[in-house]
Amino acid sequence: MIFSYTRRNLSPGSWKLERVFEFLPATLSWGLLFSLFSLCLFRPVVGVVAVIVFDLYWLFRLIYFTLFLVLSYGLLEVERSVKWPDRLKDLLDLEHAIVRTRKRIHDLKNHFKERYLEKGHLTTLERVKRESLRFPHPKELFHLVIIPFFHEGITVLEPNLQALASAHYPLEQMVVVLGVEERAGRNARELAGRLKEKYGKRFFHFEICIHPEGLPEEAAVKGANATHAAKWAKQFFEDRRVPMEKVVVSCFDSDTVVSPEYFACLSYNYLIHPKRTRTSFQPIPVYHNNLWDAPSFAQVLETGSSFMQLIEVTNPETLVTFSSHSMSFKALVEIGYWPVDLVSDDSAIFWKAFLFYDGDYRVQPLYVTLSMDVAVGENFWETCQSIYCQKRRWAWGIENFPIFVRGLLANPKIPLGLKIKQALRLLEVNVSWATWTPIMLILSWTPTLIAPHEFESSVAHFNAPRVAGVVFNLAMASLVISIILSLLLLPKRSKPVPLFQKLVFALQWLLLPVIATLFGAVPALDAQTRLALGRYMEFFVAPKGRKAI
Amino acid sequence: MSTLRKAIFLIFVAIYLGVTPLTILYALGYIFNPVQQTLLQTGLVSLNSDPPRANITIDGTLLKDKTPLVLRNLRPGVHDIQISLPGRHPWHKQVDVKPERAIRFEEILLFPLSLEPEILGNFPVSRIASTPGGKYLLIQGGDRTSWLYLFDSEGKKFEPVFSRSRNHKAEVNEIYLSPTGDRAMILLQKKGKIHPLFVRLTDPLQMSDLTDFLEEPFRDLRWSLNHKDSLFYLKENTLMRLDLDRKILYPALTKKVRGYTPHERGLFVLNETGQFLRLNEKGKIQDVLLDDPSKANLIFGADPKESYSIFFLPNPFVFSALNDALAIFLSEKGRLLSNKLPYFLDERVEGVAVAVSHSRLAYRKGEELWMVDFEQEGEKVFFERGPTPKKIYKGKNGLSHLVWFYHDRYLLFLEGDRLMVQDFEGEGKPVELLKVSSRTPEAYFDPRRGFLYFTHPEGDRLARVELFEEPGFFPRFKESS
Repeated sequence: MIFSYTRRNLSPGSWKLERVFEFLPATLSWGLLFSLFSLCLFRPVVGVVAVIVFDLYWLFRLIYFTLFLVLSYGLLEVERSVKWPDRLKDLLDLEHAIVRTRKRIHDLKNHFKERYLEKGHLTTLERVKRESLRFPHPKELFHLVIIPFFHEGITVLEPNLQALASAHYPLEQMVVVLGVEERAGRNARELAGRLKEKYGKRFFHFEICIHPEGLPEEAAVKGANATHAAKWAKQFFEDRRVPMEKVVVSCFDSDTVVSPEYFACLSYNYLIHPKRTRTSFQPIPVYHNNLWDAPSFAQVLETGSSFMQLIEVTNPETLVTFSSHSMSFKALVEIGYWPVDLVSDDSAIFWKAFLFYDGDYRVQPLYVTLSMDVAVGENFWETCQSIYCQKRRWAWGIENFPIFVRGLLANPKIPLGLKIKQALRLLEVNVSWATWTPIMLILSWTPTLIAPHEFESSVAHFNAPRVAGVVFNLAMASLVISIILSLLLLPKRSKPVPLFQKLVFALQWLLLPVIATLFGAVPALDAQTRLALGRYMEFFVAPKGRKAI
Repeated sequence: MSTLRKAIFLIFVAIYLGVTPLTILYALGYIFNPVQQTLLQTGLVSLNSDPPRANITIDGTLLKDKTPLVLRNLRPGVHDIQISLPGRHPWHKQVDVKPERAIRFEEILLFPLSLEPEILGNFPVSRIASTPGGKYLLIQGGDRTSWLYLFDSEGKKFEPVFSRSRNHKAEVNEIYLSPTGDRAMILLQKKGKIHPLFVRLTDPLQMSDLTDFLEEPFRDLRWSLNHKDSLFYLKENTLMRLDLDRKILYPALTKKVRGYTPHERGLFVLNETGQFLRLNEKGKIQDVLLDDPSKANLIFGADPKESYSIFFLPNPFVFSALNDALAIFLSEKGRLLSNKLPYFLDERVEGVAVAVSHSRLAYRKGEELWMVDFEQEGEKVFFERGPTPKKIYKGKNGLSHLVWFYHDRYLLFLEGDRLMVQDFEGEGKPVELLKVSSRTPEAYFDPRRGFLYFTHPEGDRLARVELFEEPGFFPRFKESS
């Protein structure tokens, strides 16, 4: 169903509906915090019961997350050794590939990891054969890479292009488009020109698209730039008579550094997917480009963000596109490209596609990483400010909620259960984001600290902190697992990392509860409150700083 | 992956649904009663002692754990709890445990069976004066001023107050120490006339003679709580204010005063026309808290000349509401009143000790010691009665020097030459701590450092004992096994 995925030019009725749903997340988040606080203050025993219910809910959720974090990390590690170009070749001759894979499985009796991978591959090959799945020849597949940028410097952009040029994938099947904002000025255009000069000839095509300033219906957001570039690409492929389903588009943030296997992995997963044009492909973003240059709290925060994504990818049913990702170009064109007036284009594109295809749209996780930058400023406080603004921009993804719910209400083809599930999921994620750390860190102790005098002579007054303490300690135990994984995930440095620095990195995880509140809950509450008050955000380009290469 | 995730999700949901109600029941004190096959809501007793690591006996069973300890899951009913430590007086209490209620005994002082006093001077002492906020003690060795010493409790040094003064032959009539303890007004009597002397207790001492400013008759001197160098007093029945630093006597603040008290929030004055007022320190009326002569007659008595001492009790539940303030009035005839129910507390009251951190009050009435606890909930009846005074001790030998100490949990008093201590919560008789001089029975407790100063029976000399070490801010509790 065609739905205008925007909050602009709405009819009075739709506008009222939009405002109601804009109010809802902030109302729920603040309402939850205030009602729990009030209960702790005025009905402390009831408050204790409510806090226990929430604390345990979050404890189990945390343990559950940690379990899948470990699992996901394991899968990521296992899949690192997959030779994706070989797998792509296997698709050309299924019969022989199946026989070869069976033989390999037989030969790998004592190699669990390799055996597991081969078994997975065999299952896929057998499914493709069984379903007689038709897919384009891998040699006919094009990768369109759109890199919108504003005023980021060469130290940020060049590693991006270097990584593309180093991909273990035929570069003659890749079209790279640098989306330059006209308002970024001459410097940005000159930089794009220099990059084209250096890397342009290595790809099938390299284009610089200047996104004009002030196009009608557009806001100063990344999605507008990306859309402008995608529209150019559509014409480009049409001129060369390349069918859209044979093009996979990847929209990368300017600081994205793909792993060499990315495009081979993406191509394989795209080709074997039965609904490849109704699917987005989500790699795992890690923030390793400048991790060692960032202050400790930023390191913890961004590693935590990577972990959240690692957890998310284990559940494709609820996975939503985030940051840099890929999708079928056919789908992008059909749904009308990225929203040109929304900040959160990365998640908005999923919801837009979901509505357009009447709920028949999913995200396929890719166990391959994309490395990105930690937002850093000139000094500590600027870094704090940058990270806060970046997190608030992420939390601003809540702007999708009112539009998406209106879209759901307008779409009779999506089953009611699916509508409720997706709307609640989007709402719950955002309300939890804004409330879980304040509940666990502050409200858990509130009845004991500020409850009225009469409560001091109740058993609950003594037992509540004990329960909160056990919950907190168990939560910290799950943190220890995160610490270990974070050490394992650390990027390799040219110089070996001293043990002391690794130790500091591990110990700084103990700051997580405070960091998660200041740079998690507070920006989320800020974003939701802005949405409720109608103070809409525009795109904030987080300053990314890297030492020159 | 999807199936595995769903299976694990369902397992977690099941565990959550099972664990949450159990945790809530635990938090509310429920245990399973295997005999009756029902859930039983228990109570809890929190114990802490000074010194810590004392033995705990509950219903005759000695526990392995020591204080501090939280006794959880106690069945409702009366439990006999004893805290003991070798060489110390035991603490004992019959505790009525109620479901879901926690009872706190977190300030149990275990007094030594015998105390080893430290003798601090080699001269006889007739008076010990200080204030809780003060660093110094003023020690009077005799009536003459030459025997007045400033005692530094940290350096344990005596400094003569009038060593080089021409007043050294006068007699000390009265000492008024400021609440901060760094200023004193000493009234000297010389040739039948009172000479007020303002002394800053600094090193060296700074003195100024106020004879020309503070003319007799004056009475009821009180320090301002807001201005360190301001002093209030009654001249006949007129309330006056004197700035000691600038030597300024302000115009009369108000007249026909029956009683007054300075407070952080101003001056509270009861006057002869039946009004109870809050004034600022310049005498301007801020609040009229009672303006009903008939009601004033009913509460304060018909005699408008009957003067009152006024005290404010700290109310831990109230931070700003003036109407919730708790005031106590003691008339010169010994009538003890309050501004809250029951209004009339007692009569023939001779001395009052006001708690510092709790809304509780102790007073003596002849040989009896009484206590009113305004924090205890009154009985819920149709006609509210308010808190009821409780007799806590009947002595034989003259009671004096009442003072609350150790978080207002204990009452220290002299009975003749015996220094006694009464536990506010515990049961039984007061403990005799030590004997003081029978000739000049004096005692002062320094709440900040835990020292008890007294006149030693041998030679009436100044002595002190340490009753407890400075308690930590957050007592730590272990859990009962």
